[in-house]
Amino acid sequence: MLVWRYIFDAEDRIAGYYTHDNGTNIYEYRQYLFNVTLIVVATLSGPGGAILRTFDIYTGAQLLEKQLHPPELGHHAEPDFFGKHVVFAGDNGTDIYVLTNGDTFYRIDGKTGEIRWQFSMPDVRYALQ
Amino acid sequence: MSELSSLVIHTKLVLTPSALYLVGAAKSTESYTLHITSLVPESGEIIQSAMVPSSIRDPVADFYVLSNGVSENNRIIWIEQGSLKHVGLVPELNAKPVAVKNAEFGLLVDVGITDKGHIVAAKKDGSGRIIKLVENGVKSVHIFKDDVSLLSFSSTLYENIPQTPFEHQSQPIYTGNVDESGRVHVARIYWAPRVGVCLIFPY
Repeated sequence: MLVWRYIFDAEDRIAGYYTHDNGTNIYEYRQYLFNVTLIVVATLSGPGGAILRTFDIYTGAQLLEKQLHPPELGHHAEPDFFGKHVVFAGDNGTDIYVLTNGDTFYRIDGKTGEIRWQFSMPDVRYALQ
Repeated sequence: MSELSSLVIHTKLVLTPSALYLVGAAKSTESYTLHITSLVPESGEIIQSAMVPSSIRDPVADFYVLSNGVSENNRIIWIEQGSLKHVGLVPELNAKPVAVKNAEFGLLVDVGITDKGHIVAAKKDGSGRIIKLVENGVKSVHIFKDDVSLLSFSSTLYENIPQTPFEHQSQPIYTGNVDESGRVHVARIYWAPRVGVCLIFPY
């Protein structure tokens, strides 16, 4: 039985989906008037993981859609999931940590999509002794 | 003393109560070196950044992070020239890599439960071990026997069956999941041509 599905556009192919670890499966999503407890699944799609989305795992309702970089700035990766990851803040909030393009990191408010911080680390410098 | 720079591809984020870790592989001349950065989750401020003494051939398949929910016990595990190595994640990034002794492994197989602290390490002879994250290290909790013994067992039982060009079993497939009670299950599945059956060994 198909419960729900979301079809990604051809130019916005899914690179990976991410769920919570055990024990912290509960995700507080405060709607305007009341608090509901939701379990979400997050996806990264498009070149380099350009777009972050979250969905209610039971209904498939889309909760968040956030473009992190323009598609033309995405690095091609083989396999698609390589260089992308999402982890959830867990007990202490609804924030989401995101890795895209193998080098860019974000902390994002899971409710509003607001970026709390971001930075890129494409290379590392080390001392040769 | 001079400074060099190296491209690094990050593949994993690991959130713990004390730090957020960025785990990646830095390109060296002929291999990759594990690179870790620890930072303060709230601010994004970098605590420490370090290369782990390591040599990794394939940054896609040769290293993983074993975790068990959000806790302080997280380890990077990797294959380095047939040896299985691991290092704990601590904010200061000063943990020393440890090698699993007396065992040669061919590859790591991610069965989808690295975030439940389990991964499969397969040997070149076809046998495999389930590796579990424990306090202060990793532990082999189950061994899937090598195929050779099963093949000879089968041939005595089914000696009337003519030999096929397929002398060996196909490559085993490993699969894993966690049930509602939180118990981890891993199975090895492969096709045994001599016997003509698909063999499934659950753990």
